[in-house]
Amino acid sequence: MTALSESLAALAEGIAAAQDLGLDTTDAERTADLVEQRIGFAGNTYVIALAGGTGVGKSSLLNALAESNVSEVRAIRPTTSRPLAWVEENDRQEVEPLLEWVGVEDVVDHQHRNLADVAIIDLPDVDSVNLGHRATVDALLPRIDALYWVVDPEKYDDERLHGYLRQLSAHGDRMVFLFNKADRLGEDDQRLLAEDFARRLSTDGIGRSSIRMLSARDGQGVADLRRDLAGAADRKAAVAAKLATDAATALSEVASKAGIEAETPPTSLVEAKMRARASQEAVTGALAVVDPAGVGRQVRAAVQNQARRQGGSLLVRILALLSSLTGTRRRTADPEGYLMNWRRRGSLGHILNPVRRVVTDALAKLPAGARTPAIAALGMNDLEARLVSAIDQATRQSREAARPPRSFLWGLVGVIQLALGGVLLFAIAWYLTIIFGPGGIEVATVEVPYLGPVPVPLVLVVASLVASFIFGALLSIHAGWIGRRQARLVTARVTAAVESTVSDTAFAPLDRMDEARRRLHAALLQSRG
Amino acid sequence: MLPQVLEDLSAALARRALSAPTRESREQAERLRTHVDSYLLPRASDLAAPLFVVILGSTGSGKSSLFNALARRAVSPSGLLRPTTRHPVALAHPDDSIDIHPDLLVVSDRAAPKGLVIVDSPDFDSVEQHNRQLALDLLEKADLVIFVTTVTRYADQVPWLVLDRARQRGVPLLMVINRMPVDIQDRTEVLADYRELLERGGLDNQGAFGDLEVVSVAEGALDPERDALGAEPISPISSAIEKLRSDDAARRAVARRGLITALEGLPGGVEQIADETEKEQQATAALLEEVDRAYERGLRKLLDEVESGDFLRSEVLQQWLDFVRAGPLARFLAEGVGKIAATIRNLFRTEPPPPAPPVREAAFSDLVASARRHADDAARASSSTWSGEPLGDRALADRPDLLAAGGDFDERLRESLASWGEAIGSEIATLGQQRKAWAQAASVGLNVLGTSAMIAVFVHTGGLTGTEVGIGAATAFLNQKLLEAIFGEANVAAFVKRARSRLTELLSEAFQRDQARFAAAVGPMEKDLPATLRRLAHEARAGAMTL
Repeated sequence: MTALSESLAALAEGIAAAQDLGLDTTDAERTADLVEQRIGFAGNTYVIALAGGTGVGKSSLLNALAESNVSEVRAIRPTTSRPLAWVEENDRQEVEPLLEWVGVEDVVDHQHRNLADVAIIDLPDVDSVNLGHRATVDALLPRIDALYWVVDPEKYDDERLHGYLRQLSAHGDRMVFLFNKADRLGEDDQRLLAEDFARRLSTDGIGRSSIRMLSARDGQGVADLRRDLAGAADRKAAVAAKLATDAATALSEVASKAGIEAETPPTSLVEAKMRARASQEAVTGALAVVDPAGVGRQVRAAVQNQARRQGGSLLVRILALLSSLTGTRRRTADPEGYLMNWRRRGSLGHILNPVRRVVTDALAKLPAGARTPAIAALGMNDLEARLVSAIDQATRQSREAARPPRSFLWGLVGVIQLALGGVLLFAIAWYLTIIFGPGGIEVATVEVPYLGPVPVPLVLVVASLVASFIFGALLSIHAGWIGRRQARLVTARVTAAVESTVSDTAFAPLDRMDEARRRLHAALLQSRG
Repeated sequence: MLPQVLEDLSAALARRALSAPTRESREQAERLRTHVDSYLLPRASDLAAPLFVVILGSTGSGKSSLFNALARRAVSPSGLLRPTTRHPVALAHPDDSIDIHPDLLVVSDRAAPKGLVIVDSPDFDSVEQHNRQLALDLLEKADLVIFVTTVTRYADQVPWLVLDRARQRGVPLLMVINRMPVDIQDRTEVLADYRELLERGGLDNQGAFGDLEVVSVAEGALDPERDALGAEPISPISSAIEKLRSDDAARRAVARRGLITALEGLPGGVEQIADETEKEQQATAALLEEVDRAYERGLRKLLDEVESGDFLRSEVLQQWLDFVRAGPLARFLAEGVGKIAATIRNLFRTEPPPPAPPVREAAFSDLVASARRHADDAARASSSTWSGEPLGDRALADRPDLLAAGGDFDERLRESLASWGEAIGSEIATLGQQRKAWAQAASVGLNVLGTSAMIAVFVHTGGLTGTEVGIGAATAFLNQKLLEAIFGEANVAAFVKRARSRLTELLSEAFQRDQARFAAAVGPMEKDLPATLRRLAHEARAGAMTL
């Protein structure tokens, strides 16, 4: 993998990571596009531009290089308003699409064969009252392969110039500084000025600067410059290096927006300890609202109800019927309803606040511009909705378990209870016939059978009542046992479901964000080699 | 009269500078204030004071050479390295050299023209930030500006920004264009071009003596002995200086004209600032309105939750319900035989301590959690709106705490809830003293009754009958019956109403406190500042008529 393709890959990765952080990556994407487009131009041509303030002699220098009047030079300021390219005539056809892409329409060709493969552009100024010129230059600069800044003894210290240089300092190695109007200075003064300028450039961040003292008027240094331009070694490599720097610069800008620096690997936005505590608090809060123990209570009552419905004695059945008609049953034993209605049992604050607290702390660590995007990326805006639906889902999962089970045994007890009820009714009826029977007319005399000293109807009444009570107690014990078991199961299941979903839902975006920050940092390291 | 108006204006500008949201707007206000303080005020109080002549221009344009030429000796070194003048020099006659400017090196010279202070200012376009600041300050103080440019520079943007300010404040000008080409045709062309630019810039009639004259100095026209421009090419300038020196009336006329045009230009300069202030105030008001709306929404949601009692955890209510049903209070609910039974039962049962403190704590913590949640929502909604507006975005940059409810929100709300709870306790006690049942009830503990009253505020029956779904309704029903048994129905209703409205009040106070952080982040707003600025500027202009 070449350095350029590696830089591009790093930039693409960095852009993707930054988008996960919610950051605006339009600028970086534009740079990536520009780099790709420039790579797309075949050929060996290298586009350099003469840039600088008005009146420093950009056009004069081009004319001196060309030894002819290529670009108009006048005393009034500013002169050049449209960029103009100077190319070797055989190159022209090949170079024109590239120049068009750069944004240069005016092309003049020449026959200096040794200056083939170099397109030299004379740019408008960057400092005159004509702000349109500056806008033209600003649009062109990122598409130019190498910048040759022209300065003169009067303007070499201008803030406007150095403002540009500070911004473009990453390209300092490929920049050349042409100190024009050297003819006005003595040799000592030339050296003095060059040193002063170099000093100033190094405060701009351009440490190793190539400064050439020359004069378009008397030709000093122009031949040297022409020779250098002709003999420039590997142009393809220079273009690739420039593009790699573009990609790397765009990437570090994106990274600095996210507050990521190459030197310090990003730490997790929320400390593990803080996070564990917040997660614990949120889970506790959620459990307090969902109330699994309450669900368990309801389950126990519901199981009892169910057992009674299936295996209750006649009396119990009648009472159960009445209570279900008045709605009392629902109040005391509706585990499903209780579970599904968790939203009405307490504030969501206990769930939301701990999560938000740690996230707010984390946001303060980010650069100001990254905070608002991070809020969205962290899912803070819909945290409530996500948590509610997660808990809803958790409760729905446990809903099945909250339904009271049925038991074959209870049905059996029910049959027995019915039979006992029948016996009881029969015995009571028997008694009634004896007591209120037709006394006057004796149809037949039937001896009331006795069991020992006790008449059989009484035995039947007592026996059936006792048996019914025993079966009722057994049923209740069994149902209580089943109910407790079921309640434990439900409580455990609801608790587990809430515990796992709440923490995941609240902190999953945080994990993604930490991951994106790590990716961005890795990309940054990759692009720095 | 005029000095007073100017002092008021200066004070108003200072207030504006203090509350300006950006560096640019602060500098603009400070610059105009410098103009008022360093020029208008002293000049308005003494027209005869020495004239302050400032040589202003780009780096490398030859200001020092011109200065030396006017001084007739090498006072300020000119040089090759940019920027040359780092220590600006003022030349003054000993009689005049008092208190000129703290940053100036004052050279007293008996040979210097009397009644004039001539200043070689630093440049305004090199990378030296300090130079720029000082040069612009000197422009504000000047009675007369000698503006120096060159053939390379005359169409640069930065000098034109300075000239635009010179036009706005109406300072009399002398104009020098240096390094002119020797070629006569180029020279005429450049001069014509520059004159046209000056005309377009509205400077053509701002000369010290009427129309603005451009003095052109050819490349290399130097007097190396004095490190100065040649005397001949700059003779129009030196004769102007000579005239001002020798002719007191002319000098006074220049001073007076400068002052009058400056006063006349004042409303224009102030208008910009007032306008900007007004726009900012409108934008700020709009931002604060958004905050208002968000917090109002949040408070309403909170009050809805309080109204329905939904914010209370069911386990808290359950705990209270169990206690009311079976605890020592149960006898107040029972009637007839049940009452006797309950009393007897109580004699034999050892009760667990009533859960009043934990229930109260839990209820408060639920309320605080709910309040914080809605305040958080409001803060987040507000800050998200703010981040979309430059003014709000700047305010947010320094205040990450605005992304959520304040750090002390919970603490302070808990405090005010605690004192609210105490007030309920004492109110219950006063209320109870008039009741028959009080002695018995009080034996259970004021704490318990207070908690019961508090719960009645949080969950109330609102027409429920006790058979409805939910623990809340059951608790409300029983709890209310209990209170009514002790205090009487009407008393309880009135009491609950009062306590509830106090609760609403304290919650909205908490929200207002939290919301106030946003107003603090954009700083105080002086509503009538724009109007004050405009009025003072117009009064100052009217004052020019009296000169």
